[in-house]
Amino acid sequence: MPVILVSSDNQDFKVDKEVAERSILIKNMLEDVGESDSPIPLPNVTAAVLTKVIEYCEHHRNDPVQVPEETDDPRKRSNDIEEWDMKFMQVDQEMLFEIILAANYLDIKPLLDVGCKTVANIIKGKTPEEIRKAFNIVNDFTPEEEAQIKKENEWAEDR
Amino acid sequence: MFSAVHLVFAITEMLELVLSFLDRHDLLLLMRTSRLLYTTIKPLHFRDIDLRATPSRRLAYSQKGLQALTRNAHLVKGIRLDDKFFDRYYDCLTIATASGHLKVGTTGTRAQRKDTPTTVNALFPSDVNASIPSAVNALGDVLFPRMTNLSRLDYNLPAPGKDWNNAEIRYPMKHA
Repeated sequence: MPVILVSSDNQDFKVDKEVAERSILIKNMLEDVGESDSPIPLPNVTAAVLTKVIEYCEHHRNDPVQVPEETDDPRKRSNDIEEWDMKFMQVDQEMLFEIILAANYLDIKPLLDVGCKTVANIIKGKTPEEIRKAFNIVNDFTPEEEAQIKKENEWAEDR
Repeated sequence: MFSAVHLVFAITEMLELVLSFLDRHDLLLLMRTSRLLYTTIKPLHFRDIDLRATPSRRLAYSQKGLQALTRNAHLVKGIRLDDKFFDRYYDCLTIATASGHLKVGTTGTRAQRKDTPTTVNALFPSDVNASIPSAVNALGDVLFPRMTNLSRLDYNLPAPGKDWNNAEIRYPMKHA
């Protein structure tokens, strides 16, 4: 049975229920509402981003549901992105971050993970200045603070 | 209006997810880009530490590292130690308790408890210095403070092998 999703700019997207239910948010909405033909408004997702999200969900429609990892620790691998996902994430930076925000809003954990891994891979191996340039981050440290932070972390400088 | 990039970096939960895929070295470099990233990353940097793995091992076995760990001991929530550092930590607590610098059962962060010594032997009365066990002196002059926010301590673990670079990634910690 198809489900109609409505983007923030009022475009309708007709998708299979099983595709739409890759989003836990939509899955829960559908369960709460029951059988209904009413369109589902997604006020935080534009048509351009929703198109990409649907493309991802279509491709992964048969994937098993991701079991949350038992550990809450931090450091995980980012070099295990599937080839299709890697190509899928080859978008401009604004779109990449829009996809991450949409995945978070729609509660699509695998898409959120792959988006964050892609960002992490952009950061890896870059100097602070290169990272600032890549993400348009303003350096708001004073030169003294910058020197102090560098000094404080000399112990970890070398790999 | 904020761009999506800045929104992701401004939402702590989102940023933490990105950071979870970075190793210690990259976190350190990212931390040096802006105040926002510094304040978000610093606690993560010291949250879970395996002192047997490189580069975290330098926190315990280099003077600069030990001083950094000492300053940030209140941020440590999980730590894995080999027997050598565990002995040192135990000795430091014993000395601090005996000298009255650390009252057993007190709580709070280092920022709140400025009386807790964290730096060097020079701050200690000479009679206390005289009683410092050799295990402490052998590892330098830094007196290690109590890790007040610790929720997991694994100790007496086997020493690392040659392939323990970034072992923290392969052996993530679980908190109680």
